[in-house]
Amino acid sequence: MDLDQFKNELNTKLASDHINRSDADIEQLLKKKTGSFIDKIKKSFWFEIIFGFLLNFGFVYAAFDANLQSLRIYFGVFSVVMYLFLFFLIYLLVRTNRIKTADQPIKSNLNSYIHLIEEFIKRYLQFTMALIPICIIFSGYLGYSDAHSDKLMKFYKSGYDLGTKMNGTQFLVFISATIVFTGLGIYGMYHFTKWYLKKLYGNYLNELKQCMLELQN
Amino acid sequence: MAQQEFVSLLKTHQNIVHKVCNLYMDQYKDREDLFQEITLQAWKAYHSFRGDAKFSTWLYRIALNTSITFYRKEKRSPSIYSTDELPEMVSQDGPDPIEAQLKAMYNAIGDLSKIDKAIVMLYLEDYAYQEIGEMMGITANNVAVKMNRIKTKLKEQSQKYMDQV
Repeated sequence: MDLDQFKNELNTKLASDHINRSDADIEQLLKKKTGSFIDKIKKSFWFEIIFGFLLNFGFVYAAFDANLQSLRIYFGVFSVVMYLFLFFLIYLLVRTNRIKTADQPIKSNLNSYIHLIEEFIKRYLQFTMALIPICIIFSGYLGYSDAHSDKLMKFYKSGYDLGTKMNGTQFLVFISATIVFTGLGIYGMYHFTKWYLKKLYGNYLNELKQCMLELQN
Repeated sequence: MAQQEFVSLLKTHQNIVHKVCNLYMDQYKDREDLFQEITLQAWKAYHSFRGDAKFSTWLYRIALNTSITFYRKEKRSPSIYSTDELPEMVSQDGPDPIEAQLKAMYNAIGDLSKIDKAIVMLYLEDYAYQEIGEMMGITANNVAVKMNRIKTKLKEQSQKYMDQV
């Protein structure tokens, strides 16, 4: 049994099984919204850019308005990192706009999709990971170096008192536990973000990569 | 003006879109969604259609690209074709063997990967290997190699379907 044997029949079969659309039907379809992945990711970029800029206005305001020097530095650094990410999102949006038409060869189209998604996942992960030292280590250091307020002083003093009450072994265990839990937190955050991105785009990306692999073999 | 021109061209060539939808989707709802998506993607890209290629070739490219990258959150069904797709051709003397073979071949095509389906689709349309290669972004030689592999795969798979009957 050969494919060529049934060429005509298969062609006829594939071309049947539908109702012909009129001009009005097609015009109606043109008014509907597209549901392609590229358009979905574009919408997501737009949302993140607008929301990010709005949020960053708050950070910039806090960077100029906060009473404490540490808070000003913290929000200042945070908003700089956020702006870098937002500009990166704008760059991706421009790139997405360039590849939105599907009239290129299948291999090039797949390549554009794969590169776009891979770059987005990579940078998103980098951005999230960059926020961890800012949020944990940097904020702790700044808070310590700018401990003017009574509440903050109390907090650091309680930590200091706790430290002085401990003997050498207890202190070592405490420090080790802190390092281990911080490490676990960062490790957990890294894997959670990776899992989340994989859940959103992973399966689709694998499907596209599989198609690409098939084309290359 | 451009919209009217596009609508008229698409109406004339809508068989291409229907064929691609039937090839890639087994459920009616999915076929409708894909038809809509291909129509919209073709309209978006229409400004880049310069007329130096045939509209049908251009539309095939759009339709296949859209189908291969079509994004569905939920996968409704893992299999592409159900055996109910083709009507039972039972004559008074029993099942028609030719129809049974056609059905087996149709099912075997349904089991192919997205890329292989695209190549088969263009092959069934009598495109030359060179043209298929240009649409897929690979060489004509590569198309020939793939087509040989696909034919062997289809032969084996359709035989399996025949054995089940």
